[in-house]
Amino acid sequence: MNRFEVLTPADLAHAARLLARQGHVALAGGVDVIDLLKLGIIAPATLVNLKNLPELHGIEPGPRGLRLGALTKLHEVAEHPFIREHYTAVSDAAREAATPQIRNLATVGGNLLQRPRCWYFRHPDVNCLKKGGDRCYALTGLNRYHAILGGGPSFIVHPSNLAPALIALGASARIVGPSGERSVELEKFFTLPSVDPKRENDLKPGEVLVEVNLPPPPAGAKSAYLEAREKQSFDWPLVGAAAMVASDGASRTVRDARIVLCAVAPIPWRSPEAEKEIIGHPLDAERARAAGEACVRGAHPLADNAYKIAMTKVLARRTILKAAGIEEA
Amino acid sequence: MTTPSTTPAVRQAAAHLKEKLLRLAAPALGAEPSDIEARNDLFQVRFDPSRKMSFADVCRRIPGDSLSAEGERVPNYEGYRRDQAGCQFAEVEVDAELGIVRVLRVVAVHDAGQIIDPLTARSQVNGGVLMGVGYALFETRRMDPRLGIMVNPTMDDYKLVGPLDVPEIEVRFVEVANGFNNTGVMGFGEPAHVATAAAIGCAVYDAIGVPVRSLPITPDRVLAAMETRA
Ligand SMILES: Cc1cc2nc3c(=O)[nH]c(=O)nc-3n(C[C@H](O)[C@H](O)[C@H](O)COP(=O)(O)OP(=O)(O)OC[C@H]3O[C@@H](n4cnc5c(N)ncnc54)[C@H](O)[C@@H]3O)c2cc1C
Repeated sequence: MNRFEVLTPADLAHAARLLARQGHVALAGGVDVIDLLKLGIIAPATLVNLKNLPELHGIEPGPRGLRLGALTKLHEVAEHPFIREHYTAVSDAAREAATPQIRNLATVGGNLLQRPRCWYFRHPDVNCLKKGGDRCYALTGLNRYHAILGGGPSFIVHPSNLAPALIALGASARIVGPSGERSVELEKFFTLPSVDPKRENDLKPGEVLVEVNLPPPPAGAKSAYLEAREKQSFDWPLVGAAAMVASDGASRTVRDARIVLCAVAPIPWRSPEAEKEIIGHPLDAERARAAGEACVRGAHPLADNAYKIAMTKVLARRTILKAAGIEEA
Repeated sequence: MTTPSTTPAVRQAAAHLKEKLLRLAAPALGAEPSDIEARNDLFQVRFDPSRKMSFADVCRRIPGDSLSAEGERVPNYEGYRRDQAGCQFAEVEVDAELGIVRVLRVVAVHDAGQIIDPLTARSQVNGGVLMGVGYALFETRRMDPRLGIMVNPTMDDYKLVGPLDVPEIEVRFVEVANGFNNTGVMGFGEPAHVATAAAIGCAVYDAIGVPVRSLPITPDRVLAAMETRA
């Protein structure tokens, strides 16, 4: 690990100016930053600790939805009664992530901006495409945990399971940079490797993710998040699925829906194909199954990860039904 | 093998030490050491129980501060059963659509000879079962054949069981007498570990109707095995 200094600005504009400088990296909970430092993937001269920026704190439920300060801990998201009731997928995803110790430290902003877990990317002896090398070793190497959708030229999967849940509920991010602020739909914030394999999102140098905003859920909407892991503790999802389903009570006709997958693509993967299968129809197990099938219609598995196709279908179906409160026979 | 290799030497040293105490007690009791019986806190002459001394009184006759003796671990006695016996049972739950296996319960029944310390012996079985669950379901070195590197060399990528993966473990000891050393203790390093993975493998077979022939039994392998069933 290299030597570095830590600055703790108390003013957002000042933080943005610092982060615009070469070799300056933001520090939130530090869960990923410290790992990346130890692995030698980053070697910043300065860490800019965000903890004293008041704009980044707080959970505020209100009539216009919900504001989550970027420094909100995953644990707080998992346990907040308002989030559990109105944005169930989000609290469920936060609760599934990592371990209690990590959830007490990891922040929402850091979770959305964490780097991929790909074992080639994280290996200190491998100079892969994401680190400026000339190829993605996962393509022809060991790829059981890699992408089945949206891959190429890099085949990482996006590691955040919070992001799909937030996107399913229509979240946007408020970002402040050296030259002003912007708000971006979270769905459009993540970028495919075909755009630039070296990054996973659209955060520019100097920009601070200040907060995530969720609109009020559509009328009659319920949401859910489910994931499959090898281990039940201390493990990452093999596949996850978040679903928001807004339907008319008695007829169960779906008026609005969002289905967003986790760990199948280099970005949180929204599936309009799956949504189309259920919107406008009365929801039942058969419809949900069709949506699951639709999720993976364009999938291209690598040598070791075809199992993710089967898993994705199942998890999409189960999550849709869970969100809609329908018990499977 | 720590207990069966050390306890016989300790027991022999203790026997030599007792021999020395008997020799200290003999003149005072007017008897041969071989006629004295040491039990609980008392040394007494076998054929005349009125001639007796307390342990403390015998110790007062120790010249200097202490008495010492040595023992050694002699080779095992010939002609006795030396192999352990045990059996383990696993109860698993398989999500047949996702291929995910969870181990709910392991019952471990073992004859490890004489159990000297039940708490640590049980702990040894618990540890063996835990590592056995990892062996069965999670752990493997993943080597990239082209780069020649292990891609999962960290505690994050190398999958060890976590708290929620731990089954309910029931340990039963069946102490069958054996005579191959002077404490009747047997080695107990591996039985709980090795048998666990086999039991889990068999339980998965029973659950899904087809065997998964390689470890670890990961969801992709369970799903592939189930494909062959159809
Ligand atoms: C064992 C383990 C299991 C895990 N399992 C899961 C899981 O199942 N699902 C999951 O989603 N995650 C999982 N995680 C990842 C964990 O959730 C993230 O590492 C954590 O959320 C990062 O948050 P942080 O606050 O510590 O971020 P940091 O490590 O401090 O920062 C992460 C990145 O974001 C940048 N950054 C942080 N905040 C801001 C901001 N406000 N503005 C601009 N840049 C910022 C930093 O510069 C850095 O690049 C796991 C981690 C571990 C170690």
